Amino acid sequence: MRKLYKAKWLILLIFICLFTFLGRVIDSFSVSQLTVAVIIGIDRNESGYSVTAQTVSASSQSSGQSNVTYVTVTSEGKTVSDAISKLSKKAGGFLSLAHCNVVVMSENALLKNPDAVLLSLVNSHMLPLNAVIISTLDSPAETIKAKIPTGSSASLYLQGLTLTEEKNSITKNKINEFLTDYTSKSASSLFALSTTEEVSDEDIISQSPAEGTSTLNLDSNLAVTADGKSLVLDGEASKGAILIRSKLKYVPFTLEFKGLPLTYEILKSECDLKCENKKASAKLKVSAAITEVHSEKFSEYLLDSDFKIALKAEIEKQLKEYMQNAFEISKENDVDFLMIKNKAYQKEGLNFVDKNFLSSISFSPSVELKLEMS
Amino acid sequence: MKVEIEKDLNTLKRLLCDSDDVTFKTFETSMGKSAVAYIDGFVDKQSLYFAVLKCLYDAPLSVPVYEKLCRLPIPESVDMFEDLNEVLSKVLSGNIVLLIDGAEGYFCMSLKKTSMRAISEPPTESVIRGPREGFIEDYKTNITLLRRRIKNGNLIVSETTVGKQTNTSVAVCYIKGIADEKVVEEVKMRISKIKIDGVPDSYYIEQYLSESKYSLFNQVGISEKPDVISAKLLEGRVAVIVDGSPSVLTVPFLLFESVQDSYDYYSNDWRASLIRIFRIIGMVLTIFLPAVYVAMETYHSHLLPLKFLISLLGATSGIPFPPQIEMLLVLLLFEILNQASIRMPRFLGISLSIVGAIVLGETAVKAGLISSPAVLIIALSSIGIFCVPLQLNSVSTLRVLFVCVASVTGLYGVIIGAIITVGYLVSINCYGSPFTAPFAPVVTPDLGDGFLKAENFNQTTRPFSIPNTNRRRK
Amino acid sequence: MTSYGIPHTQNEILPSQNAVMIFLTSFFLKLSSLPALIAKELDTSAFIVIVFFCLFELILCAVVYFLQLDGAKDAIDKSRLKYPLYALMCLYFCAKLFFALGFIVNFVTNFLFESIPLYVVILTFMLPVVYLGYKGIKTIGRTAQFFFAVTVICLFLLLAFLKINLDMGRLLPIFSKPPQTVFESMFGYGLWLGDSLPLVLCKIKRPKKFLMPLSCAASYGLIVVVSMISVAAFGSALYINHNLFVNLSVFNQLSSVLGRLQYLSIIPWMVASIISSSILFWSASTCAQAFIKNDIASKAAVALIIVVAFLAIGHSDVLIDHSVGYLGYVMTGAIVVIALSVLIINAVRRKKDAKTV
Repeated sequence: MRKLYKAKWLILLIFICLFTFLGRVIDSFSVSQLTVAVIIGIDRNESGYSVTAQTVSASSQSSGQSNVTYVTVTSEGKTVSDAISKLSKKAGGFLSLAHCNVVVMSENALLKNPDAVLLSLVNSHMLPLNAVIISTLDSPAETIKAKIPTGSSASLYLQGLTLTEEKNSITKNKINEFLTDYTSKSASSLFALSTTEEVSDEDIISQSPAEGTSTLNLDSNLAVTADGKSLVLDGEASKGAILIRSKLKYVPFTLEFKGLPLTYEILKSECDLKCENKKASAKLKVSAAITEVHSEKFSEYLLDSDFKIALKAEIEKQLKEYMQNAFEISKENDVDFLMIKNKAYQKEGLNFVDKNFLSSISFSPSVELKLEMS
Repeated sequence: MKVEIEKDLNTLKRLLCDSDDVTFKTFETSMGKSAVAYIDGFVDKQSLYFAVLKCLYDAPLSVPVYEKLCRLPIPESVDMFEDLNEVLSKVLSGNIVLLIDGAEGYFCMSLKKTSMRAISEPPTESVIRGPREGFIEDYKTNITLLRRRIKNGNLIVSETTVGKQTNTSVAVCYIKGIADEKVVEEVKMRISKIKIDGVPDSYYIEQYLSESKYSLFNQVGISEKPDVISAKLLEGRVAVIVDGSPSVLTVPFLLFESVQDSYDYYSNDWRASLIRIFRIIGMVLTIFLPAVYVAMETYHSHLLPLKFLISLLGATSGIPFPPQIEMLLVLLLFEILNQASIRMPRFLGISLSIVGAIVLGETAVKAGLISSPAVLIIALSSIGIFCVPLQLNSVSTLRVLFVCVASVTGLYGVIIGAIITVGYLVSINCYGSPFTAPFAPVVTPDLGDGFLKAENFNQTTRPFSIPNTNRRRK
Repeated sequence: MTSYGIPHTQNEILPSQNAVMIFLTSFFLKLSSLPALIAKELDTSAFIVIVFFCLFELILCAVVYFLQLDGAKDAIDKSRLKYPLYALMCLYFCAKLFFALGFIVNFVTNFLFESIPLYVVILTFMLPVVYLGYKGIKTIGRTAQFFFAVTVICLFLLLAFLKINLDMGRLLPIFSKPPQTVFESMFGYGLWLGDSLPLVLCKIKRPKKFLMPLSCAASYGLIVVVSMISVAAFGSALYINHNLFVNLSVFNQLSSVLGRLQYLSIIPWMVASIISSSILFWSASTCAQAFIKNDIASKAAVALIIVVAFLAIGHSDVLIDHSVGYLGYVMTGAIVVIALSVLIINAVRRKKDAKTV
């Protein structure tokens, strides 16, 4: 009994010493010492990098509810890590990128070593690999500072658009996908291009009207290669690219058929891209439904099987045109944003020859459409 | 030998240290001078005077004394002793000693009328459906409660006394032909080796029956319900009933028994399976939730979801203490409340509960001393303790320990601590049974009474995890 | 019957414990650091290398299982080659444990904490390793069984709810480098082979026919499937994943609701790392017992050597850099030599026993 009594005191003493020792040697950052960034923007200029972060902070009110505020801070440095450490000092806390779901990068930043920049953020600053990269021709700071008319911050707005898989055709290029494409034989990647559009104050009816609001348009894309080329794809050109590269769900397209404007929705699409013996083919399997049409007689026309066949052919033709158009742009600018080179390499392996690849191949898109009448 | 009444009475008085509660009454009978000695509170005096002593007066002289006494209409037999020390222990156990001058020995009989607590439902083992009887402090009554449930001649009750000063009666119960004889012998041997002053409660015996005496974890089963004990006896376990304690001990004991409850066997098996899983989740949350919260807040905030992190930032802004100190403080406050609520008088209970709730729940949070997530987590953890009341001590100690570990080494330390704890648990063998059976090692036939409970009619074998001699139940 | 815990010298385990230990040791290193390291050198050929490794391991598992059923440790104890073989085995297990610690420490210091001294990580990690190793292989087996359910649940949640862009075409070409280069470089990663070899010192109690093949098929099948998914997801960028198993958990359907679910992968990975390290430690100290007769002294000696050597090196990156290359070839050779030696010794013993009967 005495032995146990003494042992208990000894064990207690050991625990106290151990915990004291460990508590002294291990640094800990309490949550209150952190500055949580929800979106980060990276720009490159001649002197180095400019990093903008929108941070979130919350304070409790006497009613028990918490008050959330978003603060946008910018800092510059020779490297991104240098800029981030300066940004931490400005923000008043250790900057944490662990909850950053969107990264906005300028064209300049994407043209030079974007993989090294992003990898350093992933490895050293906990940036998640599934964060979406958005490009911009302007300064990322302008994109992040945009005042959205609904009252939410640009970060939440962009997160909402990019995290939703359905109902939009925005290119959601995550960091892991970017690195995969960038290190492949095609050595190029496609990003959603953000353009700011001013919204007139008259267009907003609100109890607390804000001035200078704008929305962010992500219909265009920016293609970037590892050898320093960039290419802007407008809305129409982007459609071909996303049809080939992405699996779409509930994305609307518009068509004029026999003078009738109509909207059809792609319910599901999948493109099988192949390249063999200098012949590239893109087989698009798509199911679509007609959602809106402007004619009283249209329902009668739909009963006519010849009409349906012609409509189906017209939609297929439109989709083929989009795909062909995308390939032509890619070939013209020698920017392989459709990843055809990679497909050829996968087929040919060590026998693959890279020289003048895009100009030496032919491209034939095909569409297998299943049309449903909604 | 012949009884010398004056001399023997004086000897008896001296041995009993002239204690005031011992009654000595002398009287004259047809057989000569006689005396009775008994402890006042134990004896039914009416029966003594009107049944026993009157009989002595009425019986003819020709019948020998012992034969006369044996004809008495009393429930228990009359014993004759020749040694006063044996008589002394009988008097102390509540019996009456009758001294008749010139007789061949001292006559002892039992006419006990002790006031006992009524048989009621135990407060820590209440059920929605099932028997509500519970053991009381009198071990004879407790044995009777078992006998009522197991009307089988193979139910063996082996009695002994423990405690040099208290001479507490201890009964070892088992079913012959089911319980392993080696386990029974081991239990008896351990009890016989106990050298202790007194046994106020069965916990004193429990410590000697445990395999690992210095362990934080209970290694002996405890129950206050006869239906539970009888079920355990039928599985091949050995029960130990201690006089003066309503808690009956059972060995061998497996860790998973802490999660099992008698209600599981009296209700729908689907419901029982779900409840068991919830109990395990409750136990895990109790131990690990405060520690994981501290670890996440201090070291691994990058693993928290953003919305939760924002609300946490809001809740913890302005709190003067770091998360580890805050958690330990709230733990301390809850433990104080817990201890006070056990000891406070019932009529004060309601008002003080309100004070406790208001003080902790609202005022302290509003004053900015502690945050509401911390209060919520400790409240959840404190309620979860009672999902497994058998391991209450270990679970409530472990959660404090893990909070300390988490505060210095984060999630890394919590995982390591958990593995060390499990490594310790799996290495305990309880009377030949692995403590963590049937999960580690996996004992497939017993998994039917594990997380997912099989129907009672499908459990046709006794547990393979514990030693028993007859596996088939039917 | 006065057992206080399990006797330290017992080396009998149940078939289910054997199966679970092989399962945990198999994915601990192979699914964390190996794919990235191979991808750095061999690009998408990493997949075929891992498939080949799994085949190698299946053959080794079969050999080890056969030796376990026969109780090969007894044969080694009676053999004339006892001392050199135990010395080689001890060195092999210590080296493997040493380098495995390097990867674990690297992960903990870079991912779990902002700044933590190396000695704290190593000493804290060695606590459960030494404790479980001291308690014996039975305790390690039971601990592995205890955590097996948790591991399986986490793996299921990880893989069933995985939401990542997969393109099976990224697995092609199978040989992104010339086949000869691939085969020559392959055995430079020998450190990641020999998962089941430490268990050759155990004996299996009441063996069951189907359990071992099922366990091996499940373990190595899982590794092949996860490697396939990783290459299909990351392609040539596989090298970015210092701990693939943990990185994959970021891409989870539930993470959009529940946040980064990396704790779903951290918990099983840490459990597997501790179990594997405990097995290696137990095996090393069992072999060391042939020289240092005292059980506790042998364990203390092994633990001390590992910890002191690690602290002397000072940085886990040094270990990671040297883990591939010459060391890998040496380790592969050691596995082959050990396995063949034990097989021969066991065969000789069987022949002798047959003659005496």
